[in-house]
Amino acid sequence: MDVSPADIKLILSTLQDSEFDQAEVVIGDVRIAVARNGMTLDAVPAAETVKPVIAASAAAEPITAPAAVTPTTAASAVVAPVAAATPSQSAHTVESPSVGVFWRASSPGAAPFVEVGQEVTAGDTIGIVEMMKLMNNVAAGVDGVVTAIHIDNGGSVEFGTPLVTIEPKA
Amino acid sequence: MTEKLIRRILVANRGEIAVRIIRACFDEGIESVLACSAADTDTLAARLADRVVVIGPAAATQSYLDIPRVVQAAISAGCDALHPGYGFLSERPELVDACEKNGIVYIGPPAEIMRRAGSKLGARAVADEVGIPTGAGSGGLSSAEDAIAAAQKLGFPLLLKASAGGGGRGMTILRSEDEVKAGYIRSSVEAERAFGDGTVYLEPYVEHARHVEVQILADSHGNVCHLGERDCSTQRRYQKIIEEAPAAGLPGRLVEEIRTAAVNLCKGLNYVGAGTVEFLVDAEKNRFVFLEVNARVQVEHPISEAVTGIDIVREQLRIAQGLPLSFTQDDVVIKGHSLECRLNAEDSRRGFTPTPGTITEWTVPSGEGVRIDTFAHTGAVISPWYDSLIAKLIVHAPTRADAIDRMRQVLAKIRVEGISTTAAIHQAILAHPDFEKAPVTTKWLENVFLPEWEADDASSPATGTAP
Repeated sequence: MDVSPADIKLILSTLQDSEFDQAEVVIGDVRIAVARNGMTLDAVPAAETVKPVIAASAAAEPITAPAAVTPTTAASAVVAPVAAATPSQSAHTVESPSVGVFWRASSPGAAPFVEVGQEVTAGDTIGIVEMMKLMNNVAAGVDGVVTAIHIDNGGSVEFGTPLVTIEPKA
Repeated sequence: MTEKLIRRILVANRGEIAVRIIRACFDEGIESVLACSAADTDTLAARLADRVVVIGPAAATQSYLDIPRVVQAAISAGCDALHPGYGFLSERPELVDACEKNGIVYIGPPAEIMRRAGSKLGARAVADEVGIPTGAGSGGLSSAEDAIAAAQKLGFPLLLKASAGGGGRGMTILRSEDEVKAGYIRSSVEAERAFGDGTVYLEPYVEHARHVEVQILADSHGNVCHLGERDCSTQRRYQKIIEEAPAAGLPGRLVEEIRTAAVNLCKGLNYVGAGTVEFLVDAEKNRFVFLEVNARVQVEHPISEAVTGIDIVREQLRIAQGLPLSFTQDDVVIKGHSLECRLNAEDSRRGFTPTPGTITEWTVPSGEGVRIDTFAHTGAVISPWYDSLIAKLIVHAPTRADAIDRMRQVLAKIRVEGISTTAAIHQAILAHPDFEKAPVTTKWLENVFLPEWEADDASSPATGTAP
């Protein structure tokens, strides 16, 4: 089961409103542990290797210190790089409109249209799909933050191939 | 012409012909890459191909009919050749040009020949040059005397047509010289009144026509061979429903003339590849006129394969590689009789409306002389996006009567559930004494068969009305 940042947000706000001072929620390979009012977190089981599922918005939830959302693999990194994140349910995947070659920049040597972490608006170009010398600009489609780029510069794509993932603005 | 080895072919089509081409690739030890739409990624062709490239959405205009996407798919997948199948882009010289520009071998005629063969006037001009009757009309007539002179030259029956007319309006059939003068005066006055243009012309009228076409294979070494002819007269709205090879019931001399005309025409066109020369044969007068050239493999090619034993698609692959045909004209011996029924996902009781859906049961018989070319299987989805052909039922037997018998057996054993098919109408056609007796003419299905069939249907208790 996929746990989206929105799910985590919901869990945290439910706990916030509850009477628990300490809680641990495990869904599949995602573990969320929180504590407040002087309680401490249990030690993270070291043997578990779990994919970090992080969302900046969830971590920013105002929870009384010392509450924390604990990524089980990297206790220090509350906000990890999101390139490999499981896409959230709200995440918008920009797909290739046709078979072709994906270009991340307008010309060789030019700066890429987008990088991970970059904010985009719906009309921004995220890349070009070239088909027989026809250059098709591909638009972001939504306002948000680029969370993943799936295809390398010059990579072959087909119709429907995911190009980039954008987390829409809430 | 130098030989160029083909290692990987882009199959730029779908359905049964994509499966057919993939089979030929398999036979020749060539890799196949299917370029398909997003709607076809789970079809039989997609499962059988060595690789699949999704080129666009379901809409054919943005997938199967989009030349840049198709050629890009060939480039992306590292294909050295492209097979267009039939329909879609198979007669588009622009695709041939695009392939050539990108170093991809197009499996079909060169663009220039396709342009000439594909333009009716171009092919007609060549037909005139090599002395093949084209059924050309009189041109605009200026007086009744002019009309009589033209009629004497063309012979009867004739069709008097208004230049500005269309859809059958302003047409008069003339059967003798006595009718010409009055017909001319009446028609030109009517045409003037109806269309504001009184110009009329004469054209030979074929009352009982048969559609006869000759299968041609021509290599780049100048060899042009025919694989005999097919009769495709069982048509509804110009759509072929049943085809047979050879064309039975025609005088041997006429058949020989038609075959020779087709070969001469293709020689005149410097034709290369598989092609079909279509003729209209006057079944009463034993005359024929040239209709057009189809510069591609035809739907009904398997019946010619059945009676000659020559694999047309494999020969296409040979020709594309610059190799000579694997046979000579003397090797072509027409053996037995073959029939093909086009099984469509259509409800023939409701105006032949397409019946897309999921096939929940697909059982087809096999046996000697039975070949089923299809992409259908239990669980296959018949998409509403494309044409309704789901299978070609092909039989081969020593005689026409045997072939009809065998086809009846096939139709009786076929079980398709989940969608409606045209199996029942094929059974009814094969049971009709007219069809049994001899090949029918092009208007037979619409003018004779369908009215009877519909009347039967109306009186049949199966429709729900109590007897």
